[in-house]
Amino acid sequence: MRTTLITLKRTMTAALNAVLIVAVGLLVLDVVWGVFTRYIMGEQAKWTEELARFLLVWVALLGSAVAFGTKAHLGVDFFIHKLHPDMHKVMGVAAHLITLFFAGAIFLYGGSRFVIDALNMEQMTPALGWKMGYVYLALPIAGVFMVLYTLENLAETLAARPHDANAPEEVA
Amino acid sequence: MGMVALVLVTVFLLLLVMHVPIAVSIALASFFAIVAAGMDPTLVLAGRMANGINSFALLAIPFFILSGHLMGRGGMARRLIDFAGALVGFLPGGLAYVNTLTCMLFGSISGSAAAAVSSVGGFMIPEMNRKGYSREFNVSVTTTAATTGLLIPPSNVMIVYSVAAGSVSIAAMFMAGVLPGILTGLFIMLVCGGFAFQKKYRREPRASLREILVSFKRAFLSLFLIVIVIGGILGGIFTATEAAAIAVVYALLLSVGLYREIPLKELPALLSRTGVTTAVVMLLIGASSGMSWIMTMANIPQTVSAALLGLSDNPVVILLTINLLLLFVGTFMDMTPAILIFTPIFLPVVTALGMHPVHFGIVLIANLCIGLCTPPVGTCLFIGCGVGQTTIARVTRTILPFFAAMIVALMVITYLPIVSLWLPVKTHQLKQAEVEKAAFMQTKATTTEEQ
Amino acid sequence: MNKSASLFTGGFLLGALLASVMFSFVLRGKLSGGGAQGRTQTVLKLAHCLSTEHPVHQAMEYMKTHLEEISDGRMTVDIYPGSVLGSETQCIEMLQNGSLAMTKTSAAAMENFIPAMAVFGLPYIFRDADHYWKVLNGDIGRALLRKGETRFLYGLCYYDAGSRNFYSRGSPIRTPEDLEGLKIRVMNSETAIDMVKALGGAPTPIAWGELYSALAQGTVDGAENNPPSFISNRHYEVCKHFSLNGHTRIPDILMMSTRARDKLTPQQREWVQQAADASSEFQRALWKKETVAALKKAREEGVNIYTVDTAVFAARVQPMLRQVENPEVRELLDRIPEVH
Ligand code: NA
Ligand code: NA
Repeated sequence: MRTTLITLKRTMTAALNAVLIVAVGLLVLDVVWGVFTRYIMGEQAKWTEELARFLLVWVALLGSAVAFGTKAHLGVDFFIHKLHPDMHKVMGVAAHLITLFFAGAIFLYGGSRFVIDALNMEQMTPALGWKMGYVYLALPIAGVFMVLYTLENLAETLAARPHDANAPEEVA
Repeated sequence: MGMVALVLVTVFLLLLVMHVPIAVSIALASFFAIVAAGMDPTLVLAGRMANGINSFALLAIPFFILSGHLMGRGGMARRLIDFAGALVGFLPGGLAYVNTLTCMLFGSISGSAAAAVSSVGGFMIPEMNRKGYSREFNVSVTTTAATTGLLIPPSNVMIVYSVAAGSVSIAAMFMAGVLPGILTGLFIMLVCGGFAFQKKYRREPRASLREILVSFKRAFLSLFLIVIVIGGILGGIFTATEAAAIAVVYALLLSVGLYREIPLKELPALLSRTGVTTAVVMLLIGASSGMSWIMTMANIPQTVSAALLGLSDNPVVILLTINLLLLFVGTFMDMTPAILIFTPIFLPVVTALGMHPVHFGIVLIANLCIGLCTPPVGTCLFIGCGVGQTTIARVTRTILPFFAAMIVALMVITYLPIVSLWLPVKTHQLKQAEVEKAAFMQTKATTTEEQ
Repeated sequence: MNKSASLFTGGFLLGALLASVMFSFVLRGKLSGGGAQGRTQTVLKLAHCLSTEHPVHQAMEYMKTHLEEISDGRMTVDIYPGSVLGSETQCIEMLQNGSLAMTKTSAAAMENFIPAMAVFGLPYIFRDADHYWKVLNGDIGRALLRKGETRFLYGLCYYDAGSRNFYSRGSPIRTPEDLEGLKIRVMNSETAIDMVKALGGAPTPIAWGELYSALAQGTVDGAENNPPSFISNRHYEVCKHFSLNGHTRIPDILMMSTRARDKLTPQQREWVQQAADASSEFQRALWKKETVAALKKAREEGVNIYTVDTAVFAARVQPMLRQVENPEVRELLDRIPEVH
C-alpha cells in the first residue's frame, strides 16, 4: 500500500514537474518573442501577451498542487509547536482535512462549474480566439492533484508515530 | 456587514493558528464570509483563483525568481562581492560594509531578499566568521541588508503591490524605491560602523585603483543587468515584465554561456523550482484576490478606514498608527500576504489623507521589510540563521540596533514623501501635478481602467 | 505546554472553527429569509472600472437616486467603482454566474461574449453623432442589447463614449499619409490593430496604464481616444496635436445579469429599466459638456486641434470593411447606412 502510494506520488510529481519546466521555459520564450517582434519585425505579435498570462495561470495552479506535495506553502507553525506532541497529530490531521475541503470545494467543484459555465457561454479569448473554458481547465485539474497530494499527506500523518507527526515544515 | 467581517477575521485567525497554509486560510475565511453574505462561494472563489493571477504584470515575478536562481548559482554574486570589497573593504569592519553593499547590489538585481540572503550570505557569512566577526553580527547584517533589495528596483513585492493597489505604475514604484532603499542601506552601514568601532573590527588591505578597476571590470557584466532592466523600462524600450524576461535571458547567457558555472543539464531543475516558488506566491495572490472581493462587497475597507480616520484628524497620528499596525502584522506574517491583505484596507485611508499611492507602497514595503527579519515568522531571518548556523534566540539581541536603523529609515520615508516621489517625477514616471495634488493632505487619488 | 492544556487548546481551536462555520450558515439563512428590519429593500450590486469623476459613474449615481425615488425606497444600487471587484471581463463573468447584478462594459469588451458587438469596433460606419444615436436607440441598437440574453447578459441602455481620434507628439495627423510609420498605441483587439494598419500606421498594443510613460519616452508616437480621456489622463502634457478624425464610436453599455433580473418582479424590472433610461439621458448630456470642456482645456494647454477631411480616412478603411467575415456583423454593416 505504502509503496504504491510512493510510486504514485513520484510519477505524479514527475509528470507535473515536466509540465512546469516546459511552461516556465515557454513563458520566457513567449515574452522575449513579443519584444523581438516589436523591434525586429516592426509589429508586435498580438498573441504573446495573452498566451503568457494563460501560461502563468497554468504554472501557478499546477505548481500550487506540487507545492502541496512538497509542503512548500507558507504557514505559521509557531503556535502549534507550543502544543504537546500528542496534540500535534490531531491538529495535523485537522489541517489536512481542512486543506482537503479547500481543494475539493474551490478547485474541483467550483473550478468545474466555472469551466462548464465558460464553455457554455462560448466566451472567447480576444487575441488567440480560444475558448476561455480551456484556460480555466487548470482549476479542476490542479484540484485533482491537490486532493491526491493532500490525501497522501493525511495518510502520512495518520501513519506517523505521535511525536513526529506534523514535523516542522520548511518555510520557503 | 459587521457579521461578515467577524466571520472573515475569526476563521482566518483560527486557521492561521492551526498551521493551515496561509493561502488556504485566506481562501477558506473568504469562503465562509461569502456564505455568510448569502452568495455562492465556490464559483466566486474559483473565478478569483484563476483571474487574480491572470495578469501580465505578475509575470515579472517568475522571471525575477528565475534570474535570481541563475545569478546565485552562476557566479554573479561572487563577482559583486569582489567589487564591493575593493570599494569599501579598507574601512574598519570593512567586510560588514562589503556585505551590505553586495546585498544592496545583488538584491537590487535579483528582486528578491531571500535570494540575496542565501547567495550573498552563503559566501559572506562564513568568510566573516573566519575573519573574527561575531556570528550573530554577521547574520544580523546580512538579514537586514538583504531587505533593501526589495526597495531598490527591480522588486517582486512592488509588482504585487502595484497589482493589489489597482493601476499603480510598476515603473513609478521602481523609481520611487531607489532612494529609500539606498537610505535604509546607509542607516544599516551606520550601525555596522558603531559595532566596528566598539568591537574594534579589522579592516581589509586597501585596494589600489588598479584593483578596483579590475574587480569592476569583472563585475561589470553583472552590474550591467541593472542598466538593462532599469534603463530599458525608463527608456520606454520595454515594460517591467519584458525587462524581467530579458534579465533571465541575460543571466542565462552569462552564467551558462560566458562563466560556464551552471551546466545545461541543471536548467530543468531550476525551471521547475521557479515554477513551484512562483506558484506559492500566486496561490496567495489568487486567494487574496478572493478575500479582497468579499471585503469590498461587505464594505470592510470603508469601515476600517472610517474607524482609523475617526481616531484623529491628524495625518501624522494616523500614519503612525498604520505603521505600528503593520509592524505588528509583519512579526507574524510574510510580506506578500501582508501586502495583499492590507493594501485594499489601508490604501483608501491614506489616499483620503492625500498620500500618493506610490508613496504608500514604498512605506508599506519598507515597513514589512522589518517584518522579514523579526521572529516568529521572518523569512530572511530564518534563511540567515540557517546559512550562519546560529539560532534566532542568539541573534535577537544583536539585530535590535539594526531594527532601530530600519525604523528610523521608515519614519523618514513615511514623513518625507519627497524621498520616494522625487525620482519618479524626474524620470517622468509620475506626473508632477499628480504628486502636487497628493502633497499629503488633499483630495484622494483614483484608479481607472479606461481604454 | 502540558498534555491537558494542549488538549484544551486544540479542542478550543477546533470548536471555535466549527462554531464560526456554523455561524456563517446561520447568517446566510437570515439573509435569504429576508431582512431583519421589517421592510425589505432590494439591493443591486453594480461594479465598474472607471473613476468616480467619470460621467458614467455620475450617471450611475443619478440612476441610484432615481431608482430609490420611483420605487419609493424599495430598491437601490450599491456602486463599486475603480475595478475594486475585478476587471471589465471579470465583472461580465460575475454577471453571468450571478455574483454581481450590473456592470458597465465597453462594446469592445463585449466582443468576446457577443461576437456581433464587434461591429462597433469598425471604423467609419456612422455618418455622425446623430446617425450613431439613431442606430443605438433604434431597432438595431435595441436588438444588440438583447443579444446576450442566452448568455445571461441583459443590456439595459447605452452610454456615450464619444468618438475616438488620433493624437500625436511630433507632427500632426491630418491625412492617412501622416500616419505612415507612426507607432500608434491601440487597444489589444484585432479590429483596432487592423484599422491602424489599414490607415498606414504601426499599431502598438501596450497596456493603458503604461501609456503616459510610453508617450513621454517616445516608445509610441501617438494614441487614440476621446477628448475627455485625453484630458483626464493628462496626455495633453506630451501630445500637442489632436485630430478630430473620429474613426470609431464605441458605446458603453449598462449590462445586467439575467440571473439577477429574473429574481425581480415585473414591476421592479420596469423601475430598473426606467432608472437606466433616465441615467442614459443624463449621461449623454453630461458627456457632451465634458467633451466641449475637454477640447477647450486642450486648447488652453497649447494643443493644436485639427479638423480633418474624414472622407479620406474613411476611404482607406473600405477594403477592411469588405473583408469582415462574421455574417452577423456583415448584416449589420449593410443595415446601418440605411438608418436615417
Ligand atoms: Na530589487
Ligand atoms: Na516577522
